[in-house]
Amino acid sequence: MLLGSYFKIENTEVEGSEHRFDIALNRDHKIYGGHFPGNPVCPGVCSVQMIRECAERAAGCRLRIDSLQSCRFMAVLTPDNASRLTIVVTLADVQDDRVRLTAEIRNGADVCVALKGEFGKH
Amino acid sequence: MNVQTLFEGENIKKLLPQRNPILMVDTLYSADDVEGVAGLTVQDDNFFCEDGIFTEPGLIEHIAQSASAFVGYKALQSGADTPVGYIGEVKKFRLMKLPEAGNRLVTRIHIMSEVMNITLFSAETTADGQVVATCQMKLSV
Repeated sequence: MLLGSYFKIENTEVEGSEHRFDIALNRDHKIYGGHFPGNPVCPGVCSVQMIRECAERAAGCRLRIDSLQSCRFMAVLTPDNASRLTIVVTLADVQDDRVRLTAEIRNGADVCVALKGEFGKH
Repeated sequence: MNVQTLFEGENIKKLLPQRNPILMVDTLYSADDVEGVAGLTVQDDNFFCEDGIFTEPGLIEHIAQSASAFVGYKALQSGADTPVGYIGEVKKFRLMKLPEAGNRLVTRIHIMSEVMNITLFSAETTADGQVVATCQMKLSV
């Protein structure tokens, strides 16, 4: 949904269960026309969707967000203050039909989004 | 059935700063001190639809904007400007079923606490009458 339009992955590294994605945001994406007019701010739910799309790469299959224990947003991201970010997905428990994972979005050393949830495979 | 509404159509924009393609509420049905009800008909061309299915980020955004419209309405009633709300945290999100294009979403917001500028609420969303998601959320306004 967002990979290739809202953001692109510039580099991927895997170390054990930890998958790191260096990404770049596209500040010309149409979503900023509505969020907000004249004041582009990254929608929190687009950060959640980026995590899901990176998690799908890490897990190697399509995933559905079945539950979120928590997803915290510690900083407001804009395509100007955060054109480059790192998404870290850690697969904690992988089953046949679902995966439990944690994920963070980092802007430099700052953790901006922290998510813990269970995603169903499909 | 004649359902009463407080804000709908173009008027909903008085309660929310979001605009298309990310406006995810089209009606505020009711609002009292702690409970508000908002709705959205999922169009085929909704930004968060994939192959006719309304996806998780769209659902979460719809819930956040339902609360935001409710809080905005209460602000208007008290003579204040409508605030811009940001999601601070999503907790205990449970997805039962993904809605489909054409479904009518109705979300009931129950405010649990309002401390400083943080509103904590619980939410339940139905699609054509069937519960599809529940969660709690902290909204910074």
